[in-house]
Amino acid sequence: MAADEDRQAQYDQIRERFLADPEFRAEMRADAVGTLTGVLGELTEQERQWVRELPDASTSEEELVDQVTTQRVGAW
Amino acid sequence: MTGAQQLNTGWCGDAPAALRASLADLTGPAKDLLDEAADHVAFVLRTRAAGEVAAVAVPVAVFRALSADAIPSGLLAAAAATYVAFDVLDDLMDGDRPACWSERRPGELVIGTQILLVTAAQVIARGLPPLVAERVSGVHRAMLVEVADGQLRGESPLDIATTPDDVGSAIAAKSGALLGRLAEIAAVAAGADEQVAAAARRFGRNLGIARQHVNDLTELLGERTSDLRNGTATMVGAFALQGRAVDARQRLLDDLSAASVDPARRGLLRAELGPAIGEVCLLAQLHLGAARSAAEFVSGARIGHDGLAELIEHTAVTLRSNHGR
Repeated sequence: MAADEDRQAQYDQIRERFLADPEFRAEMRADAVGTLTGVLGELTEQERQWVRELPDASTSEEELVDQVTTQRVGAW
Repeated sequence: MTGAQQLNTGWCGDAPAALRASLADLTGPAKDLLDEAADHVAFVLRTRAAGEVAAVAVPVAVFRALSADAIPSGLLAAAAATYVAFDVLDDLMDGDRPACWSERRPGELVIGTQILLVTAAQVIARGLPPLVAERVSGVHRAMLVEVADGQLRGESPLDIATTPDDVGSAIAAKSGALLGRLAEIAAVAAGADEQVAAAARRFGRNLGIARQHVNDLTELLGERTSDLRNGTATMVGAFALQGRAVDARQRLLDDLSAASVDPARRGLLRAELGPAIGEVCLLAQLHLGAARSAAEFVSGARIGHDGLAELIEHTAVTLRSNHGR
C-alpha cells in the first residue's frame, strides 16, 4: 500500500469515529492534537503545521463560532 | 513564484474561451443562451478568487502539478461547463435564483444545463491518446452518476432519524465526487499512474467535502436562509440531533424551521448549536488534513509552491483559529 493510501486510511478511521461517536468528538474538542497524534502516530511536518492551528479546550464555543467567516468559499 | 501566482496564471481567460469554442456549432436561441453561460464563467473568473471556482481551479491545479504541458482545451471547456451546470442545477433544487441565467425561465435553465453537460462529456477527452481518453470518459461518467446520487440524497430533509453518517455520505457523493473525480480526470489527462490519480481524487474529494461543510456553516452564521428554509440536512443539524432524546429532536427541528423566517430566533439557535458548530469546524479541518496529505503525494517536493496548497488554504483560512498563530 502506498504511504498516502495508508495515511488516508488513518484519516478515514478518525472521521468515521468522529461521525459516529459524540464522546470521541468531545475528546477531539478537548485535545485535538493529542487525539490526532494517538491515531496518526508521528506527524509529518505539514501535519504539525495545521494541527498546531486547531482550537483546544481553552477556545470557547463562542470563540469558535466567531472565528468562522461568513464569506462563502464558493459552492462548486 | 508563489502558489497564488501559480493558480491564477493564464487559464482564467482560457477556460471561457475553450467553452465558447466547444459551443461554436450552436445557432439561434440556443447560441444566445449558451453565450450567456460562457460570459458568466468569464465574469466569475475575472472577478473572484480562483479558489471560489473549484470545479475549474481543481483540475487546473492538479494538471499543472503533474505536467508542464498546456492544459488540454477540452478539459478546460468541460470543467467550465460543469461548473455552470451544477451551480445552476443546485440553485434550482434549492429554490434560489441562479447567478447565471438569472433572467431566464426555468425551462431555459434546464435546457441550458443539459447542453452544458452533454458538451462536457463530448469534449473532456478531446485530443488525448485513445487509452487515456477512454479512461477519462469513464471517470467523467462515474462523476455524473455519483453527483446525481448525492444531489438526490440531499433532497431528503433533516428529520429526527438523520445521522451524521447520512449527511456525510450525501456530501461525499455530491461535493466530494465532483471535485474528486475532476481532480482524477486531470491527473489521468496529465499522464499520471493509478496511484497518483487515486491520490488526486482523494485530494479533490476531501477538499470538496470540507468546502461543503464550510459553506453550510457560513450560511447558518450569515444572512442566507436557504438551508433552514429547505430543511437541508447539514452536519451541524445531524450532530446536534445525535446527542438528544427523541422529543428534544423534534423541538430542535421546529426551532430550525422557525429560524428560517425569524432573525432573532436564528441568533438564539446559533448559540444553542455552538458545540455542533465547533465539531463541524474540526471535521472540516480533518478533511483538509486528508487533502493536504494527498496533495503532498501528488505534488511531491513542490507542495506549498503550487495551486493545490493554495486551494486548501482558500478554505482553511475561513476556519483558522487565532490560537497557535
